[in-house]
Amino acid sequence: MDLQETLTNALVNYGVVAVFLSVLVSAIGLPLPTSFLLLFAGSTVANGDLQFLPVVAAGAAGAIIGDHIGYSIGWFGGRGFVMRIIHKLKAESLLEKAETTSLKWGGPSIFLSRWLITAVGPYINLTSGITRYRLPPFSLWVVLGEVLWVLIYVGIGNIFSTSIAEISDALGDFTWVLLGLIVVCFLGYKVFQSTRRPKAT
Amino acid sequence: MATTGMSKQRRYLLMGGFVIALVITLFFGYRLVRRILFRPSREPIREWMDVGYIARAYDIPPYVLEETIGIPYGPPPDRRPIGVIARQQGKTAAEFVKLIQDRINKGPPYPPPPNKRPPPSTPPPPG
Repeated sequence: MDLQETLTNALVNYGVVAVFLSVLVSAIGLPLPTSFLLLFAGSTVANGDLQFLPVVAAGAAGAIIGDHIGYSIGWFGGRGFVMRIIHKLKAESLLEKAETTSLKWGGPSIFLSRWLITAVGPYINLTSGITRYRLPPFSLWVVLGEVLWVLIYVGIGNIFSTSIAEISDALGDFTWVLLGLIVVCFLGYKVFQSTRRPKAT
Repeated sequence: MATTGMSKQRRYLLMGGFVIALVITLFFGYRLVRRILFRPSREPIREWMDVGYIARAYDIPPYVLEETIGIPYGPPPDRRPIGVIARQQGKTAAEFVKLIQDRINKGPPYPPPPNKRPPPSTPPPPG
């Protein structure tokens, strides 16, 4: 039984509870096709077997709680682990740099990784905890991003209720293209910087 | 060429990473464009789909599909994925997909729903 079949079977048997639990464990880091599940839940809403608001509430609640669990793991467990490695490598400045970057870009990266580039969401939760990103803004960006994500996917599933597989595959590719473009731009900039002539002093 | 002091090894790593990221991005971009341009009018049947979903996607009465795969007639249609039903009947999902696809290809006319069919005629008692 593949993962998509497992999830649709769970949705049939347990309804919104399946949505809540699947999204929760996925937000912690278990690689489940939850975007597909939300699309399928939207299709089920269109068919009249589930209702829109309970599906959205269950999905958003699961995602928000899962994100905070991931953040807590980073805060309580991950930091100690990272500190040990950093001490061994004598690279304390690396953590300082990561904390500064997190403070500067944390909000937008948390928000965008909830609904646009969802593949990196669980890692951002961990790094936000490790770099001690403040909880109130983390929670705010998480709530905004996750509610938007669930609304978009359940909504699309509801509208295109008989094209779930095609749309799920296309959205998956779209996410990887976006993520790839970000990495390409970042590395391209670094390569450009590395080949630049130093300024004459 | 003079550089900002970055080691050669690090620069090669960056360039390697850049090329790999570019190739991966182009691959997914190509797949995405192909999906959009050559999108099938109806998506292929997959094992996670249930009878109701396939019936809606292919405009075919659910009971026709239920009869095809040998499950009791609804309504509402059986909501289990066809892969699950197949395994419960000791078959593979691929067999079920083929059965359903063949029935869809056969097209109408479809028989009336089982609850609206005339009762089977019984032979007159002997004597």
